[in-house]
Amino acid sequence: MKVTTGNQLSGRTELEADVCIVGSGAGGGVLAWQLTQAGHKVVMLEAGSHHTTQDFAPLDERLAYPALYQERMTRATKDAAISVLQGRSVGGTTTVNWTTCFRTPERILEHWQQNFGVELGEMLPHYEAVEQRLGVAEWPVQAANANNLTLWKGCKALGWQVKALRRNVRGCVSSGYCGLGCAFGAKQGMLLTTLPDAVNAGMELYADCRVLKVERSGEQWEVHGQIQSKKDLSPTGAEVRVRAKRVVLAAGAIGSPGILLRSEINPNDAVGKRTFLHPVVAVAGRYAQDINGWSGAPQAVGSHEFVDRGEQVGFFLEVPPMQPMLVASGVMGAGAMVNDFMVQLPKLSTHLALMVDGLHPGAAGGTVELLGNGRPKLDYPIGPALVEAMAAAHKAMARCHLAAGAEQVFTLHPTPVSIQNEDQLDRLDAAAYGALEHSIFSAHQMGGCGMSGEAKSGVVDANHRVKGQDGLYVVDGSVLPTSLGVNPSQTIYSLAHRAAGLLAAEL
Amino acid sequence: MALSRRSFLGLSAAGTLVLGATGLALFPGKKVPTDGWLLTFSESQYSTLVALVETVSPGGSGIPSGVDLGVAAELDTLFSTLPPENGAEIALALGLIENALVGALLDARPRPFSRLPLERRAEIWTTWSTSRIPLRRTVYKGLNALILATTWGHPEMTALAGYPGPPTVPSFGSDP
Repeated sequence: MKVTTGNQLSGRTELEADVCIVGSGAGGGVLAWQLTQAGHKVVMLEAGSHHTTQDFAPLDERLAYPALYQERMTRATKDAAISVLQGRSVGGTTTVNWTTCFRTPERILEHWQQNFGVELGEMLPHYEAVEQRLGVAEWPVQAANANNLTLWKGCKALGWQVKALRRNVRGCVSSGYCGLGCAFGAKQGMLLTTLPDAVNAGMELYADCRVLKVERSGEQWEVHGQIQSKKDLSPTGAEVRVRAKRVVLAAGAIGSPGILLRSEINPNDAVGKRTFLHPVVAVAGRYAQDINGWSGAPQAVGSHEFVDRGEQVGFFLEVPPMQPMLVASGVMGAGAMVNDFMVQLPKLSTHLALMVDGLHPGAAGGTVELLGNGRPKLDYPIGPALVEAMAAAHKAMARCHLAAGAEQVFTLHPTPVSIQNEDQLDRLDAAAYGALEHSIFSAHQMGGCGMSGEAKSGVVDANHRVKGQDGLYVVDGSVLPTSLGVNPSQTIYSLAHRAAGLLAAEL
Repeated sequence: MALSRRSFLGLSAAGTLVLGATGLALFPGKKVPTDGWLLTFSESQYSTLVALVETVSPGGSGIPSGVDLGVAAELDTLFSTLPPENGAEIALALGLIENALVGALLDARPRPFSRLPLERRAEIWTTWSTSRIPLRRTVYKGLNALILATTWGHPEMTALAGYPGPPTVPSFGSDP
């Protein structure tokens, strides 16, 4: 795939296109594929660098995280309470995600229709098209690793709902290293699928190009791109300017609001507002047998037993990969206790609970703001409803581990709560929950350019058009009006597939 | 206007900065000589970071410490690959940790963090994890995770954790 990288450019490069797409992840990748197949001239600008399958071969966390994640894997919310895992390379987060795919839940689509006036129409053709292109298929439970099987066994023992997950892979060798970029060429992320399709059909793809702003220029839009050094992300002095009939922001739920704010485009004063994260809390269990959770498909099973808790915030259960740096980054304690914890790594299994934020009245989520240097920062307060859900999730995960046969269960508090049997579960009641009380993560960033069918709310309409800005669109996870209660990648792929038809009709 | 928790974070940072400048001037910390190779931090900030790395990852029982592994130098290098504002936030946090005047007021320790014995540093750092001052918990969360992740990324440490390392990757052709 031909990619123009920052070190190949100097001075100002001026380009023209029918459509300029900003971002090469789940939204931009699928959109580019479809638009180029329809014969449109597309230029794509990606802030991250281009890495090939061969580059991933060391499978070394120390190399992969700084190279492939936002802010060298140090991105966090404003108060550092939530670590934000988000990809930053050609292919965006699809290059490093754990491949779990879900169609958008019907109850979420109904919620959007009822509360935001968002009518998306028939989504089935879009689900099917991306599933076919990206090889989305169920990963059999028989192939699940021991880390996933503790979740499976625990849920089964407790009579909880649990099922096999679907993944976008072809020829997966079950290495367990999806989060470091797939070195086996199996993950069907944008890097190996839609982007080569689009480039082969004539798209020009520029890496290392951070878009500063977009502005209207007569009948067209002008996109201002700044080439950044791969080494330290500083401007090299080179620029890319793209003039296009249509501009699509697909820079993700933190990046796209950032571009709009820098461009002083803020319909309904809603840009950056209502950002959702599926905030993740985790509980570890130590088992008698080896788990070796670094090996095997990272996510193979999941439980939606608690996804709908009525008036309370729901959560769903999955597991993470267990490479040592990732595990250590989640430990809140310090000193010798960390050593004691880490040397048990082969026998540790971890369960995750992802909070379904944004569905309840008053659930405002977070806000993307601009720092003095123009870079976006997410402020995400954790209110009482989420705190309650986090407490409930800790208890559910602890019960699940015990039911699966864990010898000991640990929370990720600075002084972990330790439990060895059901009678000790009430120890969790005395623990504190919420921001900075224990580790919290997010691998799912959603909202910030929310979709709304009403003129006086939201940032984009149901056709992804930025309100009051003819020719400007947003097609990525930022348009989701709420979180989803499932992993969001396939929803973004499918929305982008739908958006391509809508956008092409307007060209 | 009511003072929200989040605006309090900003105000406490500004206030502590003023106190910090005073405290650092009155009570200089321990210096780790660096021969000028630092890329992000000043020598005094780096010295605080070294003391903190030893506190968070002390080693023992055959496990190397974060200082043995050069974790502070790695973090200095890491932040040199990010926009300067990212490193400046860490530098501010290190100043807050080091400050003897703030330490005297809040922790009954009128000495810079880097000049305290390891046991005392560990006690103080633990109190930061559950401090009633949100800014302290923010500093704790951010720096603790960085140090632990960097420590446990080292092959010496991953081997001690029983991690066999990644699988061998067969050679592939070029990407499409």
